[in-house]
This record gives sequence, C-alpha cells and structure tokens, in this order.
Amino acid sequence: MREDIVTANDMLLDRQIFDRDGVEVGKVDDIEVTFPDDGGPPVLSALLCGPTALGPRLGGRLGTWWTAIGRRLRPGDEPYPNRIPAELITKFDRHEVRLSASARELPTNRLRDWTREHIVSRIPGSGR
Amino acid sequence: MRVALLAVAALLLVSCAGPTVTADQYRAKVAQTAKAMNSIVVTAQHAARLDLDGKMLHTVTDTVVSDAEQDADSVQTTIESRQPPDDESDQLRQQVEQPLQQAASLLTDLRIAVRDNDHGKQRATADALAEPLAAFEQLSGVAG
Amino acid sequence: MKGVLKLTLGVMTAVGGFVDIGDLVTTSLTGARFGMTLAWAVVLATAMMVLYGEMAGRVTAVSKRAMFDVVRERLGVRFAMINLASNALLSLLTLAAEIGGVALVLQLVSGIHYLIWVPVVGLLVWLVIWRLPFQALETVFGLLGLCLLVFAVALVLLPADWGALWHDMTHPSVPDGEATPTWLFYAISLIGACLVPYQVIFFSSGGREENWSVRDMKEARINTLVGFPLGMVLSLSIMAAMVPMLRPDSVDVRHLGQVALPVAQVLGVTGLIFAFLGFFACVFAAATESALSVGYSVAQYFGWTWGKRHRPADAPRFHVVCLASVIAATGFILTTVDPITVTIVTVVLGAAAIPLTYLPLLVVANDREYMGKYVNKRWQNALATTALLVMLVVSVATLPLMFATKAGQ
Repeated sequence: MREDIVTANDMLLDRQIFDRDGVEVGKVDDIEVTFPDDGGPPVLSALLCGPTALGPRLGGRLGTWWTAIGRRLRPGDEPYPNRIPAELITKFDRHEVRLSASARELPTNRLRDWTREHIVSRIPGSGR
Repeated sequence: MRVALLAVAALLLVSCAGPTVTADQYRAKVAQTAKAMNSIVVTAQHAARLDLDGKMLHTVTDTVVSDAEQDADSVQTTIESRQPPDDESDQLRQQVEQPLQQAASLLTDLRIAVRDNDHGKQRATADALAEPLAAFEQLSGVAG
Repeated sequence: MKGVLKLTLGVMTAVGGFVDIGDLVTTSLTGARFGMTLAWAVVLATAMMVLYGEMAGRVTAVSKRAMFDVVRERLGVRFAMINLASNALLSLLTLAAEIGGVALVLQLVSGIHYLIWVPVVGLLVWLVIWRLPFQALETVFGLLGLCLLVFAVALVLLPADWGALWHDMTHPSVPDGEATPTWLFYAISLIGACLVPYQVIFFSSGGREENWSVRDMKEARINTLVGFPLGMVLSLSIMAAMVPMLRPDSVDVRHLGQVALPVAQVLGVTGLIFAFLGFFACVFAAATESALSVGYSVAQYFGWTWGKRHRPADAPRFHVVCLASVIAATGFILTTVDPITVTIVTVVLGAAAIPLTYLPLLVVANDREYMGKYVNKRWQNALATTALLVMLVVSVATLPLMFATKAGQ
C-alpha cells in the first residue's frame, strides 16, 4: 500500500476507476478513511461508489434525495455504499485509478449486470 | 427552483391575458390578426399557384394548404374570443370579420380543390383570395 | 481519400448539430421576417462554435477523455450535476423537436399525418443508435445533409436583390415596422439555435469513439474549420432564399412546407426532393446526436462504460439511457404538442443555458495537468473569454426579452 501523502480532493475524488482490463468501474464518489489502532495518521482503506456515496457530497435537497434513492436500490436496504478495498488499487494519478481486480468481481457491477440481464440482452442484436 | 416556477407563472400570466382589453390593445390585436392572415393567405396562394405550374409535389401542396386552413381557423377563434371594449373597436371587429370569414371559407374550398385535383377551381379560388388579402393588407396598418 | 472520409465527422456534426430543426426554423423565420439583417448573429455564433469546437477536439485528443467526462473532476460534483441536468433536459426537448421535425418532413412527402410517423421515427432513431456503426452514421448523414446546398442553388436562380441582401448583411439594422426588442430576441434565438449544448458533447464523445489522439488533432481542427462554416453557409443560404418570395409580405414561417416553397419556385419538384432529403438527413442526424448526447453525458458523469464502439451488452446502462430518452421524447411529441413550437421554446432555453456548457470547456482547455503543452494559448483565451462574455450577455438577456416581446410576436 502506498505511503504517499495525497489530498483527497486533488487526487482521488471523482476520478474515473478502471479495472485491470481497462473496463470502466465508476467514479470515486467518496473515500473511506480508517484511523489505525496505533494512533498513526488516517489511512485510505477503501473507495466508495454509488448513489449512497455520491448523495452526501451533492449536498442540499438534491443530495438527500439521491441518497434516499440509492438506499432503496441496495440489497436488503444496506446503507453503506459499495466498497472497493484500497488493496486493489494498483495505480492512481491525476487522471485515473486502476485496480488489480476485474470489474465483474466488484460490488459496483450490480446495476450494470441488472440492466444487461433484464433489458439489454432481451433486445435482439445486443451481443453482436 | 423557486425562481424558475415564478418565471413560468409570469410567462403564463403574460400570454393568457384575459378577454377584456383596452381600445388600443384591441386595435393592435386586429392589426396582428390581419398580418397573420396576410401570411397565411399569401402562403396558400403561392403553394396553389406553384402547384398549377407543375412545380410542387402534390402532397406538399396538400399539407401547406391544409395547414393554412387550420391556421386561419385558429386566428379566427382567437380574435373572436376578444371582447371589443367600445363601439369604435366593435366597428373594427366587423371590418376584420368579413374578410376573415371569406378567407377561411375560400381556404377550405382551396383545400378541397387541391385534394380533388380540380385545377380550374384551384386557380379560381387562389385568385379569389386576392380580395380578402387586400382587406388584410389595409387592416395591418391599423395600429399605426 | 481517407482524408476526405475523415472530414465527415466535422461535416456531420455541423450538418446535424448546426443545421437541425431549430436552425431550419429560426433561419427561415428570420429570413422571411427580417431579411438578412440578422445574418450577423449566425456568423457570430459560427465563430464562437469554431473556437470552442477546436477546444473540445483538442481536449479530447490530448486527454483521451471526452469533455463531459472531465467536467466532474475539474468543476466539482455539484456544478457538474447541474450541468448534467440542464444538458439532459435540453437534449431531451431537442430530441423531441427533432423527432417531430422528421415526422413533419415525412408528412410533407407522403401525405400521411405526422403523428403516425412519430413512433416510426423514434424507432428508427433508436435502431440507428443500437446497431449502426459510428462511421456509417457519420458518412451517410454527412453526405445526405449536403443536399441542403439546393438552397444555395435556388438562391442563385431566384430573383434576389443581391445588393440589398449584401447591404443588410453588412449593415444590420432593425427593419421598418419591427421593434428592436423583437429583432434582438430573434438574434438570440439564432445564436441559441447554433450553439446547442449537445453539439459539443457529441463532437467530443465522437472524438473518443474514433479514438483521437494528439496525431488526430490536426484533423480535428480541420473538422471544425470546415464543418461549422459549412453549416453556416447552409444556414445563410436558407435565410437568404426566403427573402425574394416571402420577405415582401413578411410571411410568418411556422411550417416546414413554407420553407420549401422558394426551392419549388425555381427548381420545381427536383429541387423539392433535394430539399426534403436534406431536411430529413439533418434533422434525423440531429435526433440521433441529441439522444446519444444524453447517453454520453449521463454515462460519463457516473463513470459507466459508454459509446457505440462497444457492443450494447458491454455498455448496457449507456444504451438504456439512450433508449429511455428516445421513448420519453417520442411520448412527449405524441401528446400532439406542435413540434415547431417545441423547437422555438428549446432554442430559446438553449440560449439561456449556453454559458453552462461552454464555461467548463474553457476551464478544462486551460488545465495544464490534462493538456500539458497543448493548453490554450493566450490569444485563444482572449478570444474565448470574449466569446464567453457575449454568451453571458445573450444568456442573461434571453428571458427578459422573451417576456418583453411575448416570445417574438
């Protein structure tokens, strides 16, 4: 795990996340930061993705509304947003974040899978 | 958000002015009606005459003339929904109503002639539209 | 040959984005009512479009990201969301107007009522988005749209007073019998019709679809320098062609059939066929572009896989958004609202929202982290900032002028 000091706003938030094959995973909607037990500085522990992560950042009535929708869409009304553990990050720079895992293995893929299964694949010509 | 709602409300109020108007406003409305009818009649005449010269697709002539007929109808409805506020305005109303009704009925005849491919009637009706057109040209200048 | 083919993205964008139903309606309307005294508005809008189009192309080629993709990173979540919402809403309205416009063209040619054509057009637009490869989309519509040059041909044959036309173009003034606020309102409508937001999103996303890199920057520049001015020539030809026949009576152009009359006068049925082919191509292309730009902007904001270059199964959310847009727009037009009215309203709203789209572009084009040495030069910034100020003035003046003139009466 990197030890570089990074300001969240500049380097991480709203960056595009790509998986190991270059497939889009989403944007860094928020970050999870953990305070280690030994009292050291806070450490980035995960990237957060999805409307429940984005909503609070939007702020105002729009943000509350967005978070509420996101919460409804989550399985079992689990309020915590989709989590991408920091261990999976192989590269991040000013432009993008790269992961070592495939998009298929990540929790962020649910909406994509759902739309593909229930809508897109039902229409002829989607696989080409 | 609130500003947007207020803007929409204001716009609606402005456009749906009530039926009662002042004499000046009524005169302006009549001039507007005449101008609009001018446009409509001229369009229909152009289309009909070009069609007689073999320069039009029949479906286009049909659509243009039918549109003109419908537009004239709605112009008529609009001016009739306005109450003339005084006698002078009422006289104006009578002045514009006559060519309006004439034009509206001629446009219906024209539409039928086009659909029936009746070239003689088409030519005659297009020419006959010159009469209400002259009245509209004169009334367009009414508001000064 | 390959160079000519590559020019088609610029041509298609110009043709489909510039000359769409909004442009057709406002240029013919102003030509018939004000002669060429508002031509300056089209020229001004084109100049601004060339400037910002080049920036959009450069940003895409250098950063290898579509412009809207970058807006969220550079300008913040909240601003980008407002941007997204306004772009999406405007593009949806535009899409509805374009679908209605295509249906109107089909009615003119077939005699079958336009409402019957509306769902057919909606389906066709979606099918093109679903299946037709990007290259084919550009080439076919780019070339067909050039049929509108028939208006330039007609103009040469019409009894036009060239002296008067040129004079009006170069010495713009409010014609007798017209009020200055109304004249200015139509100037703003023209600018709004030319600077539609979806144009930039489509141009930039299209550049990504074509995988532009720094090597393609020159080509992107030529696209802008050729494409948009070509759109301007087409628009001005249409405006001027209205003058000999319709200006004397100051005809109020409210139907597409009226726009075609001058062409019929000098070129007869053949001319009409070219005109309608051109109308169809431009408006249909604009419909696909606006639907795609809703998909592009939503998917790019949320970081989803987007683009026609992927199989639909690989970009499902993007395609669902495009599909939903087409359905919503088609439904709206089926409520029998007049497509021409929708067009005019959309054009005016677009004028009010112009700075929202172009300001982010200016910001990103100046971002050294993304652009490296290809950042805006000082003279470009000077021009672009001036243009932005003009856009702000236009935007601020739109609603008051609309109220003051009762939407241009």
